[in-house]
Amino acid sequence: MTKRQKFFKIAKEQWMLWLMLMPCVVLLLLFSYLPMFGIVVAFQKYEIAKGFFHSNFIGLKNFERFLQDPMIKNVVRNTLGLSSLKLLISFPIPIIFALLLNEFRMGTYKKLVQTVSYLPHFVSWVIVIGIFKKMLSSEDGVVNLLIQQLGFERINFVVASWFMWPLAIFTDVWKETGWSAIIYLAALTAIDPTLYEAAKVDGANRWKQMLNITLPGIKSTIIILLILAIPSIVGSNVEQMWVLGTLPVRDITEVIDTYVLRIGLGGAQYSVAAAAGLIKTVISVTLLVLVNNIARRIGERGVY
Amino acid sequence: MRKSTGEKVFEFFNTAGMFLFMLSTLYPMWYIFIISLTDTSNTSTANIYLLPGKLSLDSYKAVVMNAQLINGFRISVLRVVIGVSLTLLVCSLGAYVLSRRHFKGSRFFNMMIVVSMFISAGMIPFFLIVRSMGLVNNFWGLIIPFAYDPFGIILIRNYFFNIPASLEESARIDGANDLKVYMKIIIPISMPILATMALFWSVWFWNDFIYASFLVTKKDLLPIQTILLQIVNGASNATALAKISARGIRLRANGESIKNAAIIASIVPILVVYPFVQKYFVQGITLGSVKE
Repeated sequence: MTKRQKFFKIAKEQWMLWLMLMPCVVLLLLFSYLPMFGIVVAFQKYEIAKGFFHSNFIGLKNFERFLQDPMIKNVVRNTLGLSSLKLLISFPIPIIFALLLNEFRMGTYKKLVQTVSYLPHFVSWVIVIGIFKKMLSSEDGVVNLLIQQLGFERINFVVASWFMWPLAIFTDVWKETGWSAIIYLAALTAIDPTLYEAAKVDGANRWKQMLNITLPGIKSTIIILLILAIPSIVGSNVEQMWVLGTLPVRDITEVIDTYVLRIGLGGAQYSVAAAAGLIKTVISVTLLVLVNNIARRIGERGVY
Repeated sequence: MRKSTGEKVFEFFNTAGMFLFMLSTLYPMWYIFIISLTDTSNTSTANIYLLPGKLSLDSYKAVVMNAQLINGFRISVLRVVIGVSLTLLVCSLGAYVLSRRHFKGSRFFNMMIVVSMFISAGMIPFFLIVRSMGLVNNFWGLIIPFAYDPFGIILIRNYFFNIPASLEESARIDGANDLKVYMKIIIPISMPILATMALFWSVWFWNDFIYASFLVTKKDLLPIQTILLQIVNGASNATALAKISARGIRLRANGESIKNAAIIASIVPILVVYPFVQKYFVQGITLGSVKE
């Protein structure tokens, strides 16, 4: 059979599959790959009227303008500071939660805790921050009620800069702990139960069993999630920080992602914003490759 | 087997700790709920923390009478229903094709999907592209750019991979083509994964406010979460909302309590479907992701 004949044979057999794949491929090209070419605006003096094709190229001027913005010092500090804190606090908590939950032998209570724990994941960030702002309100919030009952002065948390990072970390833990634990709990069920039986025979108590069987059992899951978490050190939860970032506290809440939105879509400085976004993407992809290579070198499965 | 004292102490603290955990998860929502039920016309809610004060449904009446909030709910419901249906169709069709091992090109398209999971152009080029297509301030702009999800396709495809080939063989012998096999055999037995994805996507479409607040500025196209964002951040005055609602009728509700009632109303749809799909999603997420 010639190449040509082969082509027609496959086309005849598989045309319907191609047709079924089309919607998915078209959306992928239009909204995922086309924007990748749209990144040229980072090197242009983009004007809406001229579009991608007729705007002037101005080299790296947009990057310069981004780096000269007086706000950038705060943006870099907030992004790195918040992400590091989240990595230190929000990352291990679901693991601890899963390990503790795993110690329950009775099914119903464990199930109840799990069901409750997923719930906040399904509530939007607008609502979560709205709820906590209400609780923390200096006029009629329950937290200040408690503070007053204890004999202290009311605190206006909502506009207090120092309180924004703790609030960001706390709401993050409150919303996502249960949800993030799912993957660890799934990995825990895959551990061979006979290992525990053997350990019991050897006289290992539950603490020892946890250290020597349970933790090693979920080690590779932890490492994969860590690989995926480290590049996001330059990222952030844009929805959370956008709602938190009201004017009085913006110096302390503005991170790269919200900055890009604010000057780009809010202030119509598309080119500078795209340049800032591009820097972020390059750093996070580089980190991903780097961390993945390290993980593979020390003998772990990487993410790719 | 008898438990040691240490084990008993640990179990006590673990049980109690988990109880506190549940309490702190549920309390914030409970707090907003009781405040939304309290009559706020004469007294402040400053002393309320466990049970509602003088009961009143006026905050909810005010939400229902507020044309802007009601329109927001309408837009959000439409966005979820149309968005999820379209995404399910697009992604399950794609996943079906990519699960056919004899399909020429599946390697290439798989690669394309995986790359799009790790590399994204960022918000600005995405927005500019969407706008150049005329999808800004357009209801379809809230749906079409999001009707495709690489993670979803991979999860569904993995599920399809595990369906035994023998199931479709008899249909094949009867001369069924791919579309028929997809509709009559694959889809009906893949309900767990499809229900899971439908839940995830519903939550996404219902909860998204960040894309919506840039793609849509026309008042009558704003979804409920975007309106709530404006209220929570004070960009739109809650007291003004109360006035619009009142329309000459005296309601025992102020801006604050209307906000809380709207917050509760926006959580309710999730709470209603949650118990029904809960058993599916753990199964669904683990099937796709932790396969060794």
